[in-house]
Amino acid sequence: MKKLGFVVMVLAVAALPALAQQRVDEKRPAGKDGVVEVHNVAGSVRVTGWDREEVAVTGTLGKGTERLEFSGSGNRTLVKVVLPHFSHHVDGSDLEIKVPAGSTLDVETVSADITADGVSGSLELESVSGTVTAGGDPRRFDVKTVSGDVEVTAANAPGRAKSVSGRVTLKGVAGAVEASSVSGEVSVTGGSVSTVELETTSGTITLDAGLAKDARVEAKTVSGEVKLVLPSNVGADFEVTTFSGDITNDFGQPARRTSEYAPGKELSFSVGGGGARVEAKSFSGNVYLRKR
Amino acid sequence: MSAGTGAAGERELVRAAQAGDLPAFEQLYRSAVGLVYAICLRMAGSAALAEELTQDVFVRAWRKLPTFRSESAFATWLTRLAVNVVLTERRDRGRREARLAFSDDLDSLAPPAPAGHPGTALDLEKAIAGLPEQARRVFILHDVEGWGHGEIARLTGLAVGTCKSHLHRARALLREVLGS
Amino acid sequence: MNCREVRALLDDLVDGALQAEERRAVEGHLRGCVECRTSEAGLRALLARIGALPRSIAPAQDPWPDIARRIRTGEVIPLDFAGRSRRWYPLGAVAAAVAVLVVAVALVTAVLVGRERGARVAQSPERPATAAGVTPASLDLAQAQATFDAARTQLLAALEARKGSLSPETLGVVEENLKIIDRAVGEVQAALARDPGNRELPALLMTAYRQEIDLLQRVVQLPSRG
Repeated sequence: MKKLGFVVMVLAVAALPALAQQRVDEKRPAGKDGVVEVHNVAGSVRVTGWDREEVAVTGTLGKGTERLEFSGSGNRTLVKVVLPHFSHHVDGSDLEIKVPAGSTLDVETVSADITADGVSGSLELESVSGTVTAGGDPRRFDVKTVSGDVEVTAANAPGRAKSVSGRVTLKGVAGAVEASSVSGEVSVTGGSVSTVELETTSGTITLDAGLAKDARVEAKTVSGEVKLVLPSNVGADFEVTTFSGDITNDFGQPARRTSEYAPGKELSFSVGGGGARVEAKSFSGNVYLRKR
Repeated sequence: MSAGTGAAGERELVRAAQAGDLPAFEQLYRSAVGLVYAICLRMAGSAALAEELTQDVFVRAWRKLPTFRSESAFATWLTRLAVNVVLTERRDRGRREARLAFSDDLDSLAPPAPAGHPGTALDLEKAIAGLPEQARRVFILHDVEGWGHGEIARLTGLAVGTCKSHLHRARALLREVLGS
Repeated sequence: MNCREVRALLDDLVDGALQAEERRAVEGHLRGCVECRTSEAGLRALLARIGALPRSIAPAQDPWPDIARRIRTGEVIPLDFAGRSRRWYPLGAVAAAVAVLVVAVALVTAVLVGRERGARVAQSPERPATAAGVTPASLDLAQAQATFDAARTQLLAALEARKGSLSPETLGVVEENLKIIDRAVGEVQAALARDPGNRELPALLMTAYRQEIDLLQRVVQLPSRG
């Protein structure tokens, strides 16, 4: 009997989903370099670092949302938009979150767009179809989407950005980075890259940047095209191979057939006294080495 | 600082690391991280958890270095420490157990390789990953890492007889699943 | 000794843990009993396969920077903390089986990625060709293909099992991109068949396989409603 009463009480207390949009304005103390975990299915999530030892959440919860879970334990803070189990239509929630600047972020959404900036911990950002934009100077980044576009402007951080069909763009990156997409375009622009690994199946790979003295650039694709645009005075050793694609080389040397009897072209040469290493491999896509 | 490979070089690195030389410790780390990660991954059953555990192992190793006596090899000491860390971690215990606790007959999504067929490395790793937790741990320590029952018993806190039955069960389940 | 007793001692036998007298008794029985001998052979075969497993696996991302930072800041390892929440929404046996599969694929992929990097060096001096002109490199490739095919089949089955919890848009993107990769794999395989001596193609093929496995693994672990 007691047990039944308890169950009934719990059911009565369980919150009903919000029938209208709800505003959110809450804050909690948090360690200066703890972990902040954010979950939101749809809508948007915008996280910025600040100099308070507090996590502050403002914004609106979409119609149909059950509640916002905002809790913490030890050095972890959780911000989670909780949806009712049997929901037919729930509107997205838009969250603006401020976190201590030393925090590490772990954000997961389904279709909500994610923007993260101004934290110096690690960034781990995942979405299915939302776009992800990451900036600032994190210790490391790890961004994954299925169809959402990804843009990372994280100056010196090492990291990885992957999508399946979304575009992956890295701007002004100087750390050891990896970017891949199956069919989306992968592009690296600006700054002076150090170690870059780019991979696609059919997406185009574009690199338009400077190279650090001992940079390592590796671009691999099956049927996509590879376009590398480099300073005309670059010092690098190049190694380019394709199976059935063409190689265009602004830097002079023409490609040669790997064998008289089988398809395949390769091109190996050095310019500007060498130093950096640039490798491009494709199966059927063309490779373009361009001078800026 | 670069030290030669081999036992003498390792002793030098260990001494330096014990004195607080972080780059020397990094070299020790580079030579051993694969071993540690392999143990963590197979025993913990999750890459994310294994990465966190690997970190914990090396952070703890740094702190415990003063207790390392160079009679045994560094890798042996380190892997023992790794096993200790894996066995005592408390993270996410409830969810992890719920995820991995399922019945003895591995409900594979594809039938196991027919008897006589060599099978792939994947079949084997999958079969190991599917073992019940305690049996898997004992199995990995005994058959993959080469420990004796006495050591396994000491570290897991199980009786030697219990360890032996876990091992027996693990091997039997693997043979059943792999069809040998 | 009867068969039941012997079977119970086989583990100790292959581990070299039997006392001389017991060992002699067991071996005596085995000499005259085909079933038990078969059982022993099976056990030894299993242990041989285990012995071939890699002892060392490189993590996907180098954890050293985090380790160094934690050492420098003198952090204390927490014994208890609410772990990172998983994307898993357990659906019983299927979820459990998939979890197992994902770990196994990660283990195997880690080793094969290492081989992918080495595959460019089609002939390494320490590995002589075996008889019948089949080089270790091509054995490696065949085994890699078999492993990836197995992983692909099983991951596809796992994907099928959870299709209901993924949105049609996501499924559309996944199917379209799987087709793209499958087409790419087919093209490289065909080229390799026509030109088996090509040194670049094996690595390219492994790249394509790995892209497919990465995709499938990712999708299988997506959150519900994803």
